[in-house]
Amino acid sequence: MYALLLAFRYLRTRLIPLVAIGAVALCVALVVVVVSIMSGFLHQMEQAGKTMIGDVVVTNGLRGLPDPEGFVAYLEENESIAAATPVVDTFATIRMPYDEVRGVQVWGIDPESFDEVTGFAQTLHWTPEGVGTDWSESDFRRDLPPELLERLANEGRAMARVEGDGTIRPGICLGLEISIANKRNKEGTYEPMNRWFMPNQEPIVLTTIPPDTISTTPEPVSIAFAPVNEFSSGLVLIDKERVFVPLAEARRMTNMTAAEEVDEEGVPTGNIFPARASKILVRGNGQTEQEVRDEVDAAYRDWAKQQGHPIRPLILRVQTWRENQASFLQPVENERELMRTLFSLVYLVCAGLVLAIFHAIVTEKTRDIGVLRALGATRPGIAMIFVQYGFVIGVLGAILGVLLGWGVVHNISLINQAIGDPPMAAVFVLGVVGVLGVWRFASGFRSGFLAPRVLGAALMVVGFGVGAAIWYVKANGLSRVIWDPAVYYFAEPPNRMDWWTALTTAIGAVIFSVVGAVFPAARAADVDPVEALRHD
Amino acid sequence: MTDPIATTVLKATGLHRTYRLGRVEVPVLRGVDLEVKEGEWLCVLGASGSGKSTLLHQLGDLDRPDRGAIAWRGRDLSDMRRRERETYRNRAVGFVFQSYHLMPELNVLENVMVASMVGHDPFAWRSMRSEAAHRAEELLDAFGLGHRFSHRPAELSGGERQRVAIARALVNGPDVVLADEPTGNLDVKTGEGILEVLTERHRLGLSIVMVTHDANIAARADRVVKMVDGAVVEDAQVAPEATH
Repeated sequence: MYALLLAFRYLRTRLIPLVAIGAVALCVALVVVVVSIMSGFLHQMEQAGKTMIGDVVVTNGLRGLPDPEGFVAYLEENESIAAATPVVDTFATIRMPYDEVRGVQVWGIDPESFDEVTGFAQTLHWTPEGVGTDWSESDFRRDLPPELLERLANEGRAMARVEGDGTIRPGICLGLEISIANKRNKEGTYEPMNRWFMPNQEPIVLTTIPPDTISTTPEPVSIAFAPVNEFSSGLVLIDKERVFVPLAEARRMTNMTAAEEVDEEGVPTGNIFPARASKILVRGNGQTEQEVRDEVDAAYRDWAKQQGHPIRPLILRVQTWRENQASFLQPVENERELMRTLFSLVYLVCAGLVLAIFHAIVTEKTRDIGVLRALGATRPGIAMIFVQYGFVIGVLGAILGVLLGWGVVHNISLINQAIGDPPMAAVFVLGVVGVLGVWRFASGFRSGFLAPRVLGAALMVVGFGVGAAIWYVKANGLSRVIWDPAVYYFAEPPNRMDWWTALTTAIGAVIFSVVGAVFPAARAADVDPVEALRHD
Repeated sequence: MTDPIATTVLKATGLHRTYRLGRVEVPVLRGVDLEVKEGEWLCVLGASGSGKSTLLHQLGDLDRPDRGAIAWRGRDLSDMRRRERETYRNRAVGFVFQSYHLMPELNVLENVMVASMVGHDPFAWRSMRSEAAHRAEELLDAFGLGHRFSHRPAELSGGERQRVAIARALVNGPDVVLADEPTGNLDVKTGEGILEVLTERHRLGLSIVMVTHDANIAARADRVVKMVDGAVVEDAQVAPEATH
């Protein structure tokens, strides 16, 4: 009991344990912030990746999947499948109305079923859904008539435009980052440049070479599309590469339409090859993605057997969305684990700090140890004072560190903004700190003591030095937001606390604080009581 | 005056202790024999370096002799297991030091109670905490410190600190108090007060072994043992008229 009493009293009456608690807290907060941000980043990427894929993806190499509509219908009879949709996936050059040609990834989709699987309609940018709600003051969509937004939303959902003369033109929906018309601002929202925007523009031409004609003579296919809307998946990597077009047009571009078989002399045999798709996306009905994958895999094999479609085991792939995106997500996941491992070295810092501080405390408390031994304290009892002391420091430091980490992660956007572009109030506050430094320095001269002079000088350097640097940066327009939404994949740095990491880091910090206390505790237990009582 | 047929509480036989300072060996005790009877006040008188404090540490089991034996109520300390020796230090003897050695982080009451805490595991302590607190308060009240329970040692005078230290030595009801120059850091008047406290306890039957170099203090004891160069050179009863 005396061990715990003394551990708490040493904690309350001395400054140095507070330093140890602060150091442990900083170590824990560091790991929590770094790993939480990495985890949040990974989570955002996963969510964005999943948004455009569904739960399971079926692919079958370059030849694609025959009669995907037939398989989708077969699949949707299964209660564990909520929806499925065929997709034709290819690459093409895109000619923008402002005379730019660039490469894009083209997904031919059936908008209705694609929306059921991926929630595509929710990603459309030009819709009236946000009117009066979450749009920022600078959002250009506020200025557009709701009827226009309604029309654009309908065109985006139908992937087609009805012209004035009644003709229906196939529509194209572009990722929001493709057009130079959309400028991403520092808030992470988009502003149309010169107040013009894509859906209002001239037709856009996609040109591609159907992949399975390469063995003969490549014949480029060009189709003009009406820009009907733009989408924002939440992942810039997708938004700056991908366009959606109607499934039928994509099939035309890739030679995946239905065709009649011809013999060696070019005479039709009467056999019809069904239209194909590059992939089929599937959304499950509440099961895990692995369960959905297994269901889809079995269903495809049954269906293909029934229909007489050959299965190429090495080519056919039925993958969860995570497996499909592994090459994209795995490096980030690996980086997070690397960070976690590297930053775990701070445990050693915790142990080292506690060891150094406790070494000093044991030396300082040698006489108390002698008194306790004279009163009959056991060696383990003496050791327990310092082990419990280390435990208390570890626990308090860990709790404080988790709270600090949570505070930083929760307010990461504000902190990011404040560091990148500090307010002028910060210059004022630092100026006050500098003035305080002058006062302390002067009082040190009057009293003749050195410590106040050193403290005053430090305050002056920090206050005036950092204040002047901030003022210079602001005055010369050199402010630079660290996490610039105009540059990064996501509009805001992730602010999702990784509680599992927080818990494991906190436990690790407590364990290593105790480990750091063990050696000084053992040294305390070994103190010769007679020597200890003579210690001054 | 001690009853000649009283029980022997502590008995040291042929104690030898030599310290090594680098290559030099310094003999501090050279065959000391000593017996402390129940209710006896024994003063160990000697100059600085005569080995009297070392003798006290040996009697209190803070240090072990190179040769010789110490017996408590007939039982050799060297035959005891570690836990028994710790219990011996906690219950059988109580130390009073010249520099008080109070713990600055604890208040007066806690400084006294800590001796009880040390002797009990946390579970046992829970059941006897109030009893220990009551005993500590009684002692402090008796020593005129009833109004100082929550004060820290730094807020007390030297005399008050030493009285707290004596209360701490007595709180577990020891057989013997081992006092090492208990008035050495105090002025004459305050020292007199401390001696009065000890005299009072001695009258109630407490055995005291006090180390001092002050012959006037030694004159209060029942018996005075003089030490020179680590050996007892004189062991004499004090004349009844000289005591107290």
